[in-house]
Amino acid sequence: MIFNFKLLEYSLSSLWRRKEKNIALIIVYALVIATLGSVLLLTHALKTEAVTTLTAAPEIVVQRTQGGRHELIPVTYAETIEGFPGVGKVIPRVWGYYYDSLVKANLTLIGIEGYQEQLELLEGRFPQSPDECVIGSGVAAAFGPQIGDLLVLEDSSKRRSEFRVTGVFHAASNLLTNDLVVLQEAALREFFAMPDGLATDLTVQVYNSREISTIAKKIAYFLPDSRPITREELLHTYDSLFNWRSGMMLAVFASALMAFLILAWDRATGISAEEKREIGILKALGWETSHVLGAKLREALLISLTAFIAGLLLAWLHVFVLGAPLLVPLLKGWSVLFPTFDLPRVVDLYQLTVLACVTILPYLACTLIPAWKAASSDPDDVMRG
Amino acid sequence: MNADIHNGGPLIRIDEVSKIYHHDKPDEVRALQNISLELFPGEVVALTGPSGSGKSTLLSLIGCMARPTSGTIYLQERRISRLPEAFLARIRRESFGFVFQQYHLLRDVSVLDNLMFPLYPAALPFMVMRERALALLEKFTLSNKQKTKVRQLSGGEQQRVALARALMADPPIIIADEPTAHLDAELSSELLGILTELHAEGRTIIIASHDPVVYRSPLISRRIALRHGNLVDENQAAGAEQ
Repeated sequence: MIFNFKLLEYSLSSLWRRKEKNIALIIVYALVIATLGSVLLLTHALKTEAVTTLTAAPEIVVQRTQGGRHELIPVTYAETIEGFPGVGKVIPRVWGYYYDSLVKANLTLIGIEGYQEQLELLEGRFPQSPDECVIGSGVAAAFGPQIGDLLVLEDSSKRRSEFRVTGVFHAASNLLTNDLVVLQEAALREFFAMPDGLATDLTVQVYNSREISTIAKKIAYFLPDSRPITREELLHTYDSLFNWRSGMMLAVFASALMAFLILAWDRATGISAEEKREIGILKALGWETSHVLGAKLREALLISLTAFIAGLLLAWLHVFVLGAPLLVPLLKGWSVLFPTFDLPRVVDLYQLTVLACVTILPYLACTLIPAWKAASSDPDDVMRG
Repeated sequence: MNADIHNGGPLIRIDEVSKIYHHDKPDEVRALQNISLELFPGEVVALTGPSGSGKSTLLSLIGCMARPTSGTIYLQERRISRLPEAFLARIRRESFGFVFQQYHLLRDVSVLDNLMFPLYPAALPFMVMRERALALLEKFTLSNKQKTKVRQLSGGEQQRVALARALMADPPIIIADEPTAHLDAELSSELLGILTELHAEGRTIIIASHDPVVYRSPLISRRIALRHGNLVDENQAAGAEQ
């Protein structure tokens, strides 16, 4: 125990004696960890957000396609689908996108009738007349209105429509509600000039989750111009999308990691004459190879753990406090047009373990191998250089 | 002192030892060739000879800091020249105290810490190490320098720190390589005084030096001369000196 403390004391003193070099190394090391950590934290947060969003989503969403394009779907399709065994409610939804050139944000306008069951967390109340609306927190932040204020939107014919805000969402699923503007269906139809008898899509409730894919196939069979999308397919799409993007980012940043490892290897294999001499002196004074390696291992662990923790903290601040301004345009893709939203502060321990393994272990090897080479030589040889 | 000294028999026996650096390479150096000698307990032996004669190499081999290319070295009749590294390290820290020509102190570390390094592997309680170090600093009139970094010391002070460090593990054998190389006459004389005290305590001292102040000192009980890696006759050596 005493010897371990003495080794630690020696390691700390050794690091302090070369503080300029070690501080520079820790800074570079921490920046590499922060970069890789940011990608992992952001990807995981986005995936978690997507999963949270879709947990509340309907089992099947049915769209209509014509010539490969999304078209409005006849409300009468709902009656056909409701006739399938195992199907519960089928609700036509009315919604559309609205781009505001002033604040450069895409909003999603929805009719409350198709969504009321999914949207539970609400401050204020749902719209009760055509000139009222409920907005997501991102819309409130981008446009400024709060409960009681007016939200002004322009329709396709440049006509101004005013809606009084009666509620703001603070949902657990920020991705779902962040860019929402909820209106009464009639108001929405008027705003988008959408004819009665048609909806944007249909939501289908399925009683038994094991029958979802069978019912989706039936819908596609009996309504050939329809496109049923199951919740699993959406989850899979999100997963693939973020995995692909994060994979691409990691491939780019892996080069940064490689550069760092080369630097570390260069630093370690080229241990200075002073460090070699010091190892030789310790050996001459009766230290064994294992004692020298113990001291060097402590030095390497102190450096790598300090850099790892500092890098992770930086990544945490970058992603969860600052909103990942350096990575969001690359990772979120088209969703950059959305108003900004807060990411859920979730961390995947498996990813962190992998990150620790790919950064700490190579550094330890880079440090210990040359130290071992020096320490296992005769002290006379090492001191002679 | 740490090790028991056998009475009668040699403390160190060197048998047909050769040391070749860069063996079988173009820059091969034959530093020592078939050296055989015996060193007895309580002796103060001076290894003499010009630079490159093999004095430092012989000291390294005796002190287990290098291994001979051929031949055998015995310490108290135990063959030590082929022992594994961990055993050699233990012998170095328990049996030998080294004073190097260049002192080999850690320059950016305090005097007190430099003294305590040899005792780290012994895992003694910190206070024991500290007390022993402070006692030696007192003995070498360095008490007021315990917190001073070595690089801030004069040459003479560094020499005394190196000597104090050599004594930290209380070894029976002191090995000193050109201990007066960087000292003026007064400091050399002071050093010989310290070595005389150590000899009086019963330690065996082996000094490599080409400084006449050292090898002609009354302290020296035997001189061993080296030329080009070979032992030479004492009279030959004396003739060469003149």
